[in-house]
Amino acid sequence: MEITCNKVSYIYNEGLTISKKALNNINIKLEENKIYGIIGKSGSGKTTLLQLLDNLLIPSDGSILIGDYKINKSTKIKKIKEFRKNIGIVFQFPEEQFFETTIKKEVEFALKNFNHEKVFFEQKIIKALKMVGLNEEYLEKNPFSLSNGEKRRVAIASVLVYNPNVLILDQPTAGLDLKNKRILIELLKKINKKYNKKIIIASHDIDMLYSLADDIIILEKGNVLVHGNKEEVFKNTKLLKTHNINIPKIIEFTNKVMDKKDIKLGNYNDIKDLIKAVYRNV
Amino acid sequence: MYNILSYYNTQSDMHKMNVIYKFICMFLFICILLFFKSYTMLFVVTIYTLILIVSSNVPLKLYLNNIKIITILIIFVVLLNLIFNKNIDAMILSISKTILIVLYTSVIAVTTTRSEIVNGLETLFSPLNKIKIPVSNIALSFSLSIRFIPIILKQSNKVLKSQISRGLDLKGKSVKIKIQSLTSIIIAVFMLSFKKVDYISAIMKVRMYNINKCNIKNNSKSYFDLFMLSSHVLILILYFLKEVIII
Repeated sequence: MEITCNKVSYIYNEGLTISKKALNNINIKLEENKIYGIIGKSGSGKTTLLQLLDNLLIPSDGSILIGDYKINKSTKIKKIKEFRKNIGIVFQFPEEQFFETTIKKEVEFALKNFNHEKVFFEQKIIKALKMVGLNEEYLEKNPFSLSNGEKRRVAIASVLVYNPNVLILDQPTAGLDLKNKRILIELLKKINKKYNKKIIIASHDIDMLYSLADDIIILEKGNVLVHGNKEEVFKNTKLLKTHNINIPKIIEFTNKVMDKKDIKLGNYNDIKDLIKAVYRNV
Repeated sequence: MYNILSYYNTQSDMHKMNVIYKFICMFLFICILLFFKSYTMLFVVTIYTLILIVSSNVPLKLYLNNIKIITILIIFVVLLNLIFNKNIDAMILSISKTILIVLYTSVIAVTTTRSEIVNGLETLFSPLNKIKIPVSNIALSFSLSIRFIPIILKQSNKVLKSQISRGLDLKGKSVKIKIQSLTSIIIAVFMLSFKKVDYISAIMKVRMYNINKCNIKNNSKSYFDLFMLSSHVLILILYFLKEVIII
């Protein structure tokens, strides 16, 4: 499912004295089965862009084309349920948005709304939980009693259960420890590769995005600063520094080794591969 | 969306005015508005309100938005008067009074923070402490309750968005289903609210909050406060001279 944003702008409280332009003339094209990372400071428009992609907000100007669906100010999507079946969005701190007393009910919610057959409910819920590394024992547990990492995975399962084509995540690693972060990264890689889903992640976690994303979009004050392949984007350390964006640690380390030892190293996602390459060259 | 009667952050004499004086002035103003019956008084009070609006340094558009809200009420009053009363003077006076009261309370609301309002009420009602009514506790509960309104609204909005993204569509659904979905939102909102209550109480504990000792209130008075109070009293005197004693 291809996504195209054509001159998209969004203004909060439009027409009022306290109106605020969150996005300004955004033009991006997101291809199928890729992982996209959206980076930007707080208030740069990341969350607004994600909500526009699920038609939770309507662009003030311009249009968004998602598959056959067009979102703009003048035309309303008629079959909104059919549209939303394609998009799964996991908000920031999704565990704060649980509203059911058992995990089964929480994950089941979307199945009921999207009119799936009741006979297959349990089967689909168990499959979704397994996709995120949880088993049947969790079905009757209270979602509020889980650890933060588990809660985050249940939130993803409650979206994956209806099998959307696009998975959108808003700051998925916020508040997670290193171990849970790693589990989540592996999980998202699996969802992308094994289940062929396009994933769009907005995050401040540069290292996570470097190891996970294929393409990077940098937003600044509602504008697209850079959009390109992650290696190209992160190679441009000067640009990142001038816009106060962190450089992935692995790239920082590579650059330091290359400078000190006067050798050439390639691009590595995994620190182990990088260390091996350093050993080979030094 | 901007809430009506929310505090507007800027610098002005009205913003700096002592909240107790604001309450006393508001009480006097409402008394004047309730009783006067002449166009002279209407003129004086209108000019006075306009001066206050200008001195508040808040965009005029904001006040006009507040008047827009009572348009339906004004139309209703006009219709009622035209049908039953047919006294044009009474109608003009009652509509003007309604608009003036909205404008005046707006001036007070947009220039006073919530905590100032609570502190002001607490000070005003402090004599009730003598008959063992825990005014400070009530004021604290009140200010904490106000603090929770934006949190609850934000959280409800978040849960609703999360449900909508998972296919919730309440259009054309029965009242029972609508209530059920509202109940589910309440669970999430309460869970978060309890969490926030824990945070706030822990923060208050570590800062050694003591209801009798830790209240920081600014009760300083300025010449502007005295000017405001005396001008209100003057208008009240004018009302007595014009409408009570002479007529």
